[in-house]
Amino acid sequence: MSRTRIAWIVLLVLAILLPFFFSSYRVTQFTLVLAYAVAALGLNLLLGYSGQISLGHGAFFALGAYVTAILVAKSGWPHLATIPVAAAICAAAGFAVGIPALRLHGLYLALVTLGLAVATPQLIKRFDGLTGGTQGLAAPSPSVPGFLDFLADDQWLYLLNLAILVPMFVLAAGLVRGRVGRALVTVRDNPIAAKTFGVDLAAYKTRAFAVSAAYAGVAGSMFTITVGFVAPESFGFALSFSFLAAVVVGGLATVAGAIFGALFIEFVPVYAADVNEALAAVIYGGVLILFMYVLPTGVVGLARRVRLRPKQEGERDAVVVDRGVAGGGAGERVRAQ
Amino acid sequence: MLEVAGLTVRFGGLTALHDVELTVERGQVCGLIGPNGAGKTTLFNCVSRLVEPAQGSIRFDGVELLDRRPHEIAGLGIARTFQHLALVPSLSVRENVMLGAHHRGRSGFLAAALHHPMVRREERAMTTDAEDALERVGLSHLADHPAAGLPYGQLKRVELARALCETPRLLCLDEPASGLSHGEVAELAALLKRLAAELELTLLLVEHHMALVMQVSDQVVVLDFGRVIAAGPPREVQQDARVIEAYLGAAA
Repeated sequence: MSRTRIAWIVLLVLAILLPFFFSSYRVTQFTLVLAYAVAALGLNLLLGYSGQISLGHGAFFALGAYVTAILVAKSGWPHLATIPVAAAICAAAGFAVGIPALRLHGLYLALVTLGLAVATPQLIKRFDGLTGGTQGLAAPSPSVPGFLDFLADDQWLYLLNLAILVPMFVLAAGLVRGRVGRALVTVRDNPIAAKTFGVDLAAYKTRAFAVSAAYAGVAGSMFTITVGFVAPESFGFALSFSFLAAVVVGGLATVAGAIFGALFIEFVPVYAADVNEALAAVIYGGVLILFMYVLPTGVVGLARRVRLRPKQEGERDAVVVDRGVAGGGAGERVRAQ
Repeated sequence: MLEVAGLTVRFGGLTALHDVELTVERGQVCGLIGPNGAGKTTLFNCVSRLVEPAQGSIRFDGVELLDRRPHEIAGLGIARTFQHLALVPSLSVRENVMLGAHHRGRSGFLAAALHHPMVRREERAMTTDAEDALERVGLSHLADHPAAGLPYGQLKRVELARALCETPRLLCLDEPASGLSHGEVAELAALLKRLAAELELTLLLVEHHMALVMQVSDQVVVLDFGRVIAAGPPREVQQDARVIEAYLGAAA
């Protein structure tokens, strides 16, 4: 068994034990970390692997959250049954955004997707018949099933979310390695060359968008399941920036990075407020800047560098690969390096 | 095998290729030379479908390439390398070469996400193909090395291995000798001759290194300002007055 796999299993065991060692309040925070981790993982598939930026993933997150809330509150669906629906609707929405994204690069794509994020709260209010408008919509969290009645509510919700997260990570791990994973990073680093050995650029880019949005949608469902209530102010554009921060802090083009990034965006603001309520935002911003200064390749990037030292570290710095190809390698290069 | 006819490419007001005719026979090594800006790379980019010509036709084994989309070209049996390297620095040498086998794979997003057994089967086949290609260019020992950080000459050979991994019938090489040392060029000439013979490849070669072109080519085509000014066996072309004036003369 590979060391990476052992590390994942240890991490999973720790994650299962975690709710039995923390207060109810903390466990709920960790439950939100699970939702954010799925969203960050989805954004990383798009940004880290396929090289397309989105500042609007909060919109897909909101869409997933509302699909679950509406189906549960208005149609009485069981919570888990709403997840595939949220994923499918968000995948379709992501695909639709992915088509114009084929012609938009870098900053232009960032702005278009930012538009989605900015418009989201207003759109939710607009369709108040369905969404409950500014009042929000209550969709009570699932209660502990009888055979697990030794669990507290918060522990149950945490473990339920963990059970949703694990397959999402397994799917992503399959996606980013092998033929599809290699093609995705080539779409990012050298789109022109990718065409010449048979990668259908448009198909890969739009599918990456669809998959990424589906992840954000599932994360939104997890949010609703955890919180039991959705309202427009939970889905401001700052949420999209948080996801971006989580991806970069965790490490671009990594699967495990999403977990560290999600821990960061959930807990650093909380601790910042503990230090000084009035200066919380300043402290959070400062920590973010410091973090990027110290760990430009994110948490997982650092771990990789430590592992590669001393054999290849020096060589890695001496990159002589000319990425420009005939006609100029178009496409974004939003990379941490 | 490759028949280019009446090919014209315009970039705005500039005519990069003007009514270009070119035929490469099966098994032939065709050298494409000409001063900088003559349109050699543009011609390559038309064959790869990266540049849309204004008019003309490019037929490969009877198939009109201009009716095909760029990502379909590899599947038809045409591989190419780039003048400036087009590798993925974050992947290992082996993985970069495996990219060449991409067009033979059938597993998509769903199969990959679900860890379908087909993915592992394809992965094994691609690994074998990549290792074969690396062995042919003499880079087996570097398979696990990241593509970033290798000397330029070796990176060029990694790209050659990737193109071989596409199992092409026509291999288009854009300045394979640029940036190589004198010794490396000699090795490259021997390597290209051997590969062409062993793999029954047809080669289309853009190159400024005159000795290399004259040594390996069966036919040399000279482009100047987007027009073919001479074509024929290396010896004849070398003595063509127009070529000497346009190219060899200018260089001397």
